[in-house]
Amino acid sequence: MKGDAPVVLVGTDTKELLPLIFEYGDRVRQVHFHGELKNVFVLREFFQGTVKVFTDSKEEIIRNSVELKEKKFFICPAFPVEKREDISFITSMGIAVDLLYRVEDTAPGVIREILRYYLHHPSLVIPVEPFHSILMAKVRDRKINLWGLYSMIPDLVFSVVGEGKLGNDFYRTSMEWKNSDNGLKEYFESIPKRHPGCMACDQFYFCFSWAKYKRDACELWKRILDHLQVNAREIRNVMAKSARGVDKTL
Amino acid sequence: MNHLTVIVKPTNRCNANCLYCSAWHPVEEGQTHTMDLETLEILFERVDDWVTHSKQSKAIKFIWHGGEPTLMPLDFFNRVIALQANLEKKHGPRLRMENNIQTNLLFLEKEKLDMLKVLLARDGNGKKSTIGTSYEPLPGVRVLKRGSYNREWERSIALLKENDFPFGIVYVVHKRSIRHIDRVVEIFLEKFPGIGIRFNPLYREGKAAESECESLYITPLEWGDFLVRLYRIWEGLDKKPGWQPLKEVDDFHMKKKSRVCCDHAGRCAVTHLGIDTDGGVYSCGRGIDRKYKSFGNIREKKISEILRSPSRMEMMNRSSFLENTFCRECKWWRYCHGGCPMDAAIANENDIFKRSNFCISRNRFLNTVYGEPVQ
Repeated sequence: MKGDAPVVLVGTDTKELLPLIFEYGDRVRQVHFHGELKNVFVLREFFQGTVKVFTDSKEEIIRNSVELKEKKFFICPAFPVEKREDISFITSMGIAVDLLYRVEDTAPGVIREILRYYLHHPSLVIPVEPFHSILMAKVRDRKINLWGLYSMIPDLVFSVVGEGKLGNDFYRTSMEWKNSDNGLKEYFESIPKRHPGCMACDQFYFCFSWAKYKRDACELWKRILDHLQVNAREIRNVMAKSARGVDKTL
Repeated sequence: MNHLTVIVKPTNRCNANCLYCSAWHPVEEGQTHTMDLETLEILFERVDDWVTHSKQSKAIKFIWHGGEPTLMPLDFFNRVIALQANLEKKHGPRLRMENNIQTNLLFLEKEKLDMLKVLLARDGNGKKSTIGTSYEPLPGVRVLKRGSYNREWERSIALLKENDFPFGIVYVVHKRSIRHIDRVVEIFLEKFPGIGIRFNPLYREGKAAESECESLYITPLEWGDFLVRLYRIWEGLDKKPGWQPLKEVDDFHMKKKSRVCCDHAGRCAVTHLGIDTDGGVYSCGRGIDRKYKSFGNIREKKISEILRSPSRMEMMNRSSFLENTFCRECKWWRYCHGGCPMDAAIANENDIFKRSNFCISRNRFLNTVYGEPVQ
């Protein structure tokens, strides 16, 4: 394992995760918790970074809503997202949502609804990921891409507690992720030959052929990225006008 | 404001016969050699349309290139001047245009000089844009079909000086320049002490790709070593002249400037276009020379359509591709951005999604001179 590479810890049991949090220290970028929701809270005492909680129980979310909100955990729905309300019921309790691992399993119409909700709902004050990160990156010209959002970059290490492999659909891979250098570098370098159309895509810099990796979700991601791009441009225009003192409403 | 540099080649013809000409093409039947006035007018109609239908103001720098652009009849450039004046009158501050020219200066006459005074005038403040020209102090490389190249060129330089034209020089570095670097530098310092000089490596394009030119080829490592030696001379000078790419890299390293030149900035596809004699649009002058994936033709497409062309998008994506792949581990990324796409195309059978062969040169130069990049 690389000595200074960032680490994403993935596990179901806090007893197994905590020693790794101590071992890796500042290298831990995120913790993904796939266990029973009520057990996750102890992590906050020892790790202040991003914790993503994967759960298929809406009841558990509601039951633990106060603590989830206070401890600033992200909920990653492991249940099918079939309508906007499957997301908005979480944000209405002040809990952040990360739909990243569900995007490609969700109907385009539902994604569109959730996007509209995130962008335009007047009372929404909590981020809906990955849309929020993408929008902000586009507004501020931040250099991130979908691989980065999925924490799948060549020099990043997934440390998986338990069976030792990521065998579920969330990570779009069943390969062992002791070190994600495995295969990704070759995939990246082969993109111009493997997916020549990607090289002429105006969202390539943001997607980097993620949407063609393992399965083809190109059309869906293109729509999401284009939609957020238009909104980011609008926000930038308003910000520019505001900076010039043209728009006094801001 | 949108800034765009448009390199226009109004003609392929040339009155010189330089051994390493990169713009030279074998004559093909039906090939246009000179831009006609209709194509020129369409070009400015397209500019008009682009400005009219855009929310943003535009600043366009035209670089008249070739071939030898001064071989074009005076009428051609007088038409350029008139068309630009009309557009500036129509669009006011929403459109700023300026002209530069890259010329061998051979056989410069008074009429052409008078035309250049108007063409290169900037904002009516009496200042003129810099004329780009090329010079070779070593004999037998830049040659005329008849007569002495350098004698003719120096006559024109004297005329430029008399008429207060600022000028800069491109010098193509080849095998013999490396052998005679001290002599070359001495001549430049003696004859052109305050003049900006851009040192470019010989690249295998046009006539330079032919076997006759092989004896002039330099390796990437030789180019890197040349830059190191040149830098050592340059840094020892009391008043450092504007020798490129040394000065721009040094300014970047010393944080005096935030950007390097087009071939190292990684944004050339965003900032540049090249227009060939027949209206074909490419990435830049070098894209025209290579005929690398046209973005379309100005006679058939609007500028907004050309800017959205898949070929241009490919060029724009090169930088983010390299940054995440072949150049991922390179500490000099911000100094280079993968280099000129056309250098990569020459070295890799038109595959621009590879590093250019001059990556070795840049590493040699930057590692030797600076050691570590500035943070």
